[in-house]
Amino acid sequence: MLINCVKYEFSKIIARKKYLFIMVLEIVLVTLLGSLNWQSFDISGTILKFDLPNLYFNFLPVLSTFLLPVTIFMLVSDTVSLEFENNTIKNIFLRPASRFNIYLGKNLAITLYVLINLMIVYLASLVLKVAYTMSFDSVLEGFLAYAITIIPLFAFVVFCSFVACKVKSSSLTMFLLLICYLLMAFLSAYSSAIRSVLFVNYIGYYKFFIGNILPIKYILNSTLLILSNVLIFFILGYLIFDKRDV
Amino acid sequence: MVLEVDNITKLYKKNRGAMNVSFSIGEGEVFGLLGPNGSGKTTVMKIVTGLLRAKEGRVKIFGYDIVDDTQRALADVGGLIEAPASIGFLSAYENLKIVSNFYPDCMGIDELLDMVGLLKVKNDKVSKFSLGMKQRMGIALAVINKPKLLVLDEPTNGLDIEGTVDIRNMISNLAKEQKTTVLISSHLAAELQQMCSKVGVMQDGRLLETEVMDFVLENYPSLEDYFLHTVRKSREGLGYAN
Repeated sequence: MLINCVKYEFSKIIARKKYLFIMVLEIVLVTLLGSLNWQSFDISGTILKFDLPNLYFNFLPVLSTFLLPVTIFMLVSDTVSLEFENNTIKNIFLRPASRFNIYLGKNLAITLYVLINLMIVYLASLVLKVAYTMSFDSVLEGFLAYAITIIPLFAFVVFCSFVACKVKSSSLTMFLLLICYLLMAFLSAYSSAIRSVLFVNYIGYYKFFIGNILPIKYILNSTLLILSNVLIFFILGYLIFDKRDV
Repeated sequence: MVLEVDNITKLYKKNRGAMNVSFSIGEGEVFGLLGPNGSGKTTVMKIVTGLLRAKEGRVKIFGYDIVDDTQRALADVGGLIEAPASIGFLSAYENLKIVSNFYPDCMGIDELLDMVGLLKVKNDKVSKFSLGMKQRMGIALAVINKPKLLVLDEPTNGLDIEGTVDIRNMISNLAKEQKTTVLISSHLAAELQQMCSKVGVMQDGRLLETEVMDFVLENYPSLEDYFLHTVRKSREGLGYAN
């Protein structure tokens, strides 16, 4: 039944034009930046490079720390809060599926959409890189980086769903998630202790996997931290979701 | 028994909701819950379908508990509770398509749309539908799995005369031809009188009485008179008249 819940949620996500538009927007953005072959792009002191040989590595931070989190906010607001707000949640609650499967299905459908986004952007940047440089260098590393980024982003989806379960309005959910994200970024910048336990700081987790040496200790620590965040926020979110009346 | 409702209680502010409601429905019965607005009918319907969790009491559908075994309890159930829950940005066809995944053996989507009179507009977005068309869409979503138990809360709300007759005939046909058990609520006695084999009278969150429709019509001029008699009797029993 879980697979049916995922199918149900995913069908709704891709039926909304804005989510197809976001995918197109990301492809256009990576193509534009790659085609311009920017060596440096100064935004308030931060130098971003979009040079073609390393396009997918350079674009991934923009994607995973800005574009995808905002997309996740929208997805979670639509898939969880809005459904309670306009009572369309009844449509799935009246189907033969447990609330656990429904809740997990929502989280997995959003994660699936995010994964597809990552893969599409990877493919777009790969095509650009190969077309312009005729080089297949670090193709596998690039794929690995994009594929592994889904792990911290899944934790992010689970956290956002937890927040959305508690809030009755979709616009308020969007606003709260944005505030939470900025607050986490702010706290992380000022305290290393907080930085080490907040899962949002592990979005660059893929970097552990693409060097010459695998830092097993760091990988294990970060994996356990991400996993514990997933478990905590999933359980809390599910408990709220399960108790919600329609 | 198809449905067993055992002593369910769910109260909101100002003691509204449902209190100690118990009844059961056998196979092929059309059970009507009759009561004014705010009498607790929708609360009962929501608890029966698992949308609300009762504070006390239990609901079993085909022997499966609605809270502990939701998946099996709802496998052969169709429901339309309050306003239809169709997805506005999807077409009528897409709405039924995404729900059909949940059932291994469900009705053909075109056949279903034809049955509820929406075949011509199957590719139109549901958000553009009139209230009556949305209600028909809700009925289609409720019967897609050829349910053995159909739970309908005020299904003719917002429908014009023609729509009301269509829906009433549809429910009667399902009960007669496919032996579907139906639990239906309404504040209109005349509507339930035409469809139900058994009726329960609700007032102030309590189920005052349940009775077989044949008995009601043999002993009272109409279901409306039976309802008024039952409500007055209850008020007198509680020590106040009218």
